[in-house]
Amino acid sequence: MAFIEMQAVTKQYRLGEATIHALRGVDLQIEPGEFIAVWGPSGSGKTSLLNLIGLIDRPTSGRITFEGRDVLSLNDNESAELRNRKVGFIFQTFNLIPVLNAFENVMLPLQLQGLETRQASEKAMERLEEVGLGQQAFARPDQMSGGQRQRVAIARALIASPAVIIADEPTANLDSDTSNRIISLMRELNDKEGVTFIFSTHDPRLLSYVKRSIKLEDGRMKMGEKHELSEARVSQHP
Amino acid sequence: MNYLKLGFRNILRNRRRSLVTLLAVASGFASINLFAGYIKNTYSGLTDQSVKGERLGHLTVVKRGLFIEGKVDPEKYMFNLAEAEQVKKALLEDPEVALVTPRLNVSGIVSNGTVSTIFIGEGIVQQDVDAIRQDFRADRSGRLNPDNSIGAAMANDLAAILNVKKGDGAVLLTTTPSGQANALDIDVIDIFNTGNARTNDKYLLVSFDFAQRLYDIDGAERLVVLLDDIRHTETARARLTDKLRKTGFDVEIKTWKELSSFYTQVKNMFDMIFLFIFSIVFIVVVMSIVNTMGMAVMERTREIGTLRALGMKRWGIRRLFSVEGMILAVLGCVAGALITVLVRLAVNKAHITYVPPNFSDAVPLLVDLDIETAVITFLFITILATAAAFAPAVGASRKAIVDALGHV
Repeated sequence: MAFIEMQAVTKQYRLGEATIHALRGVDLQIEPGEFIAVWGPSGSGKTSLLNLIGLIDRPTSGRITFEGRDVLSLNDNESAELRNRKVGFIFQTFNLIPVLNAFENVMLPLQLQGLETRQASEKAMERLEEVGLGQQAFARPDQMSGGQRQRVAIARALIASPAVIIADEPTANLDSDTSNRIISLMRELNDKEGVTFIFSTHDPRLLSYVKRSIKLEDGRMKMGEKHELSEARVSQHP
Repeated sequence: MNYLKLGFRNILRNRRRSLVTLLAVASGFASINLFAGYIKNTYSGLTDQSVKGERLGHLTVVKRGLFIEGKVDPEKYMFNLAEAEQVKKALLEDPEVALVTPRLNVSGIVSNGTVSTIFIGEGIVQQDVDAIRQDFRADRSGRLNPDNSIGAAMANDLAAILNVKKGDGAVLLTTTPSGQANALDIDVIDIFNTGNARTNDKYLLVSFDFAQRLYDIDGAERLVVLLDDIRHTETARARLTDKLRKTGFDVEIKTWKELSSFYTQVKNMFDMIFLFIFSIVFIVVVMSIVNTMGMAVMERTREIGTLRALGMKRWGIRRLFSVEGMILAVLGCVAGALITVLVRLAVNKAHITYVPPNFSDAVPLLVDLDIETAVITFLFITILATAAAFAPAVGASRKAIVDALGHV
């Protein structure tokens, strides 16, 4: 059985009188350690797909299993616990908590688990060092650049050693150089730690970094390519 | 997860709005405390006025029926000499009874030879009254001289009506309980202010012996009891009533509160005003916190979505905002307590005086510290402020995560 499996998944939204068909019968299997890009034009259903995989939304119909568990059978608290332990999120607008510094933001998922502050602190500092922000650990989000904030978000997504990291257009608010660095960092962590990364983008240039891409159009999957990525391509953007 | 630290930082995030809310809580808390302190001082003053000023002591023992049927047939409801002695002895056996003193109310006409007017008064044992009054308002003493058996202390408005001064004489004319007319001379040895506008133009004090002679009786109408501790008034009343009835005396015992209708009326009025003010202040404080927290929840909807996505449960969101409401209330109350202390100090140092309704002279405006009311108000404000913050957080925590994340 796949790590994450979607069968005939649809998602509809009500927008006033109209019904928006965000996803129309998606079948998808994701294996552990994959590095996947979901791409397509605006309104194609990328965010809806990621929200369903990340357990922050529920499908209108179809079946989704996460590590073999039917996500529709989970109540709100069970979903929250599963997200906290198994899913990391990287948002387009970083979504750091503004009153917490980088270090505290990174510690947050572990604190939600109830982990001791000492242990959480050690792990948070390790993660910040890993994303190259050891020196900025005590800076508040408003004192950091966009790229630095997204690195903090990556460290936060990784802190609880999740099985999958969902990144919804993580480079949309960044310049191209910073975007390449962020994607490279994600690839590096994927290679090193084996954590599954699924990110959405509408920038086709970033597809050269991924092992597999999923194209969405009008809520339908168009293709699911497997790419063989050379080590050299990754190392161009350390 | 340190909700307190997070709460503090979020409060500091919008300093101006938090400051306005804190000021609303602080001024509300301070105004309740100051008013509670003022009425506590007023109650304390009225208690002293009743127990000491009006010489009511803590308990008054009478034959059952004196206050109703006794008005028609007073002689029947008086203690004779032997009964008065026995009742006094039984009362003094109680370990909490400090003093028992006989009293006799008198009334009739007082005349200076040319002008006559009605009087009401009381026959007292001066040494016992001294023990009851202690150091209470020497200017309202109305003191008798135990060596002068016809000495009387006259209220100053009555003295003005009769145009008498200290050392002048007057005549008291009355009807005895058995229906005989009687008249006795008095020496006005003291002129005093009763403190009560309703009695200051007709009141006089005579010695208990003189009152007995005036009414031609050897007993007493009432026995006034002073306890060691005013707080035990009710329990002592029940115990003493039981004891006296078991000893064969069909008595009723009234507390000073029951006999001082003025105290009860003023207290009821102030209690009502307090409730009114408390309700208004309380609504303002709670609405202020509801508004602040409602805006905070609205502004931080995306943050709520993020926290939920990271795995915070619904109760965590509710707790986060409730803690913020609680912190606002606690900080506001601390600031309010400081304002209370400073304003109280200023008011008490200002030596402000005023004449309350039904009073015949000015009293100082003083504010006490009513710790009990302050603690209750603090708890009340804190609990409701927490609940006021909880309410909008419930709505926010129920919002779909994707909607919260997409909130602009």
